[in-house]
Amino acid sequence: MIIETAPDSPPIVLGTAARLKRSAAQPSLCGRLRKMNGVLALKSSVDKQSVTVRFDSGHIKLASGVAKDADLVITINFNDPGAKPKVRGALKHPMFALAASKVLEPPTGTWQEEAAAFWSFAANWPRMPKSMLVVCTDDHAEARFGESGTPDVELHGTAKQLVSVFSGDSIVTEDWLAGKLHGVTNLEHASVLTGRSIAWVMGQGR
Amino acid sequence: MNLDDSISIVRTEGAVPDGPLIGKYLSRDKFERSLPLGPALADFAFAYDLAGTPQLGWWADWRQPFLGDIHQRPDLDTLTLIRPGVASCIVDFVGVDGTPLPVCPRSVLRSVVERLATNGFTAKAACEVEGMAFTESYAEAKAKGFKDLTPLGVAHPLAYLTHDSYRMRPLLDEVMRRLDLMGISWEAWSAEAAPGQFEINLPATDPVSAADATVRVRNVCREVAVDLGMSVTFMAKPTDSYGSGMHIHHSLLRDASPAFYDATSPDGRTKLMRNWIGGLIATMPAAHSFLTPTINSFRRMVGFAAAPLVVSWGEDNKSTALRVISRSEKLSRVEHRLGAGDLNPYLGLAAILSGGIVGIEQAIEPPDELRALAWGLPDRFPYLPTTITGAADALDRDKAFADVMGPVMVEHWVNTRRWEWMMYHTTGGDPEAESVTDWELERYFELM
Repeated sequence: MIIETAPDSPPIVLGTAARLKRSAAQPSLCGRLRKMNGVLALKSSVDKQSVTVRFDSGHIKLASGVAKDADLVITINFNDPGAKPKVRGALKHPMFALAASKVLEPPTGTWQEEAAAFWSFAANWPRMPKSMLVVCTDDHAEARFGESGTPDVELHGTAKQLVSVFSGDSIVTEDWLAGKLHGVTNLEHASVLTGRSIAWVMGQGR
Repeated sequence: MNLDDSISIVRTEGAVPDGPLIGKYLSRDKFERSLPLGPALADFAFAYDLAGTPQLGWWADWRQPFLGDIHQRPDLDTLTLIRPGVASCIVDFVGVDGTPLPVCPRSVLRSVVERLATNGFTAKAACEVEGMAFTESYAEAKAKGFKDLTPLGVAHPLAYLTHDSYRMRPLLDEVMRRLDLMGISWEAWSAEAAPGQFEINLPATDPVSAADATVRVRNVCREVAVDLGMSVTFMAKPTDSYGSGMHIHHSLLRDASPAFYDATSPDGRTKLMRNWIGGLIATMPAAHSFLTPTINSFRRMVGFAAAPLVVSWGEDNKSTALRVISRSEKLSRVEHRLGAGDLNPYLGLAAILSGGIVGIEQAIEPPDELRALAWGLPDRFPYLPTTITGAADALDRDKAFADVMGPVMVEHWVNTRRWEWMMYHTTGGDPEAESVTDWELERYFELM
């Protein structure tokens, strides 16, 4: 399986490639990805971001923009995960559309599994917090990462929100500033954690 | 100047890395009591972008984990009257213990000048200030999205037209009057090639004073525009016409004598000058990021439109990145032509001097002079990076350059350029756009 992006690709290209890599890591979806052939375009409904994904039997190439030969064009508000996307081409290419919907939404683990994966990716980065406590506000379950003692970072959120941020679907400080997460930390740790969170969303470590 | 009895207010001002001046209006009493450290402000002033979004993702020791203070340490040698009763003083940004902030552009330039001095040289430099003026006020321009504005002067692309400059007199005569009042020397101004475009030439002086004068000239232009109900921008490419650059002329002195000219050499150049050019060429991809700082700066890099595209130098060649002049001791200098109109002159000068210092410390011989037009060249020529991230990557790779420029400044700059790229793509910029976008106009027009 090859998932290829051009040098200097914009965030939407890198983020989409990251999602496809997450799908490729799932045995069931990996098989589906290998069989997919066609051209998919994703387009933001609120700004100019767009990406074209060319599936060619396991060789996947992503590029900025909407290709004229796209079989399927999905227009979506990336800022609102609940918003209904507009899809063009699904009637003509129903199987491709179904497969695309699956591989663009890779399954996630529990919030503890996703947090552990993120920590494993980020922990050794320079200036990264040495310890992190994650608290799920649904049931007050906790998970600790890194060194013992008072944690450098505490993050509180619902299981759904914790999965979102630790799987790489959203960025930690955006969620914090938006009130979707609560946290206890200083600016240094928040900043470095944000850097790793952005890198995770854009596919580093995948 | 001294604070004579007529002064009741002092405006402190210093440039942040992106270029804008920040500071405070202080009562005379508060200003005097604040010395020598100067007034305090939040260190966060160095940690948000031009849209006011906090820049997150990295950290450095100069920052404080709970939004602490930094100070604006006045350089009293720069005190000058800006209008009756009001003086301006340029500052260096320092920590609460008085240590220069390693990301303070003026302190970075000072440090590079000191490094040059340890090699036995001083520098003289002069910046050409290019900007564009429009008859709409800033509020009117903003209401139009900074598009389809009416250029001050003649709306066709011819340079040096005196009847064009005559129409620019209301703005530029007043700018020169205020510069005279402030004691800022200027040599000339003229209409330039783009509609509404003007250029102001400043005399050569030491690099820190040259940068001080440049930021003040830009600020005076903006303030006069406000007072006259016009608008001025130093964006590199605010319209589809020619862009604005900042050519930086410079030369070295040893014991106060010109060090670039050798009358006995066939080409008129000393070994020092050759090594200086060699260093500027070797580090140009790295320096490019400081000289071409914004998303908009790169739109100026168009062939056959005055901006250089390849790493190159040539004797009296205005298409190469370095125009070298070696025909007499008096004129001997390098004109660095890569800079965009929106560059921070402290960082631009520091980047140029850093490159030259690398050249003399490593005795780098330059490649062959380009004896051709430096536009429309085939791929075998060394083209400069064409994107803000490409330039940041080149800067990130050049450790010798960073050693002179200051590794903390370089790391911060690389991170902020990547941030700027991310903001462009994720907050409304158009990655497919081939000309200036609404995003750029909103972000840069008033601040650059």
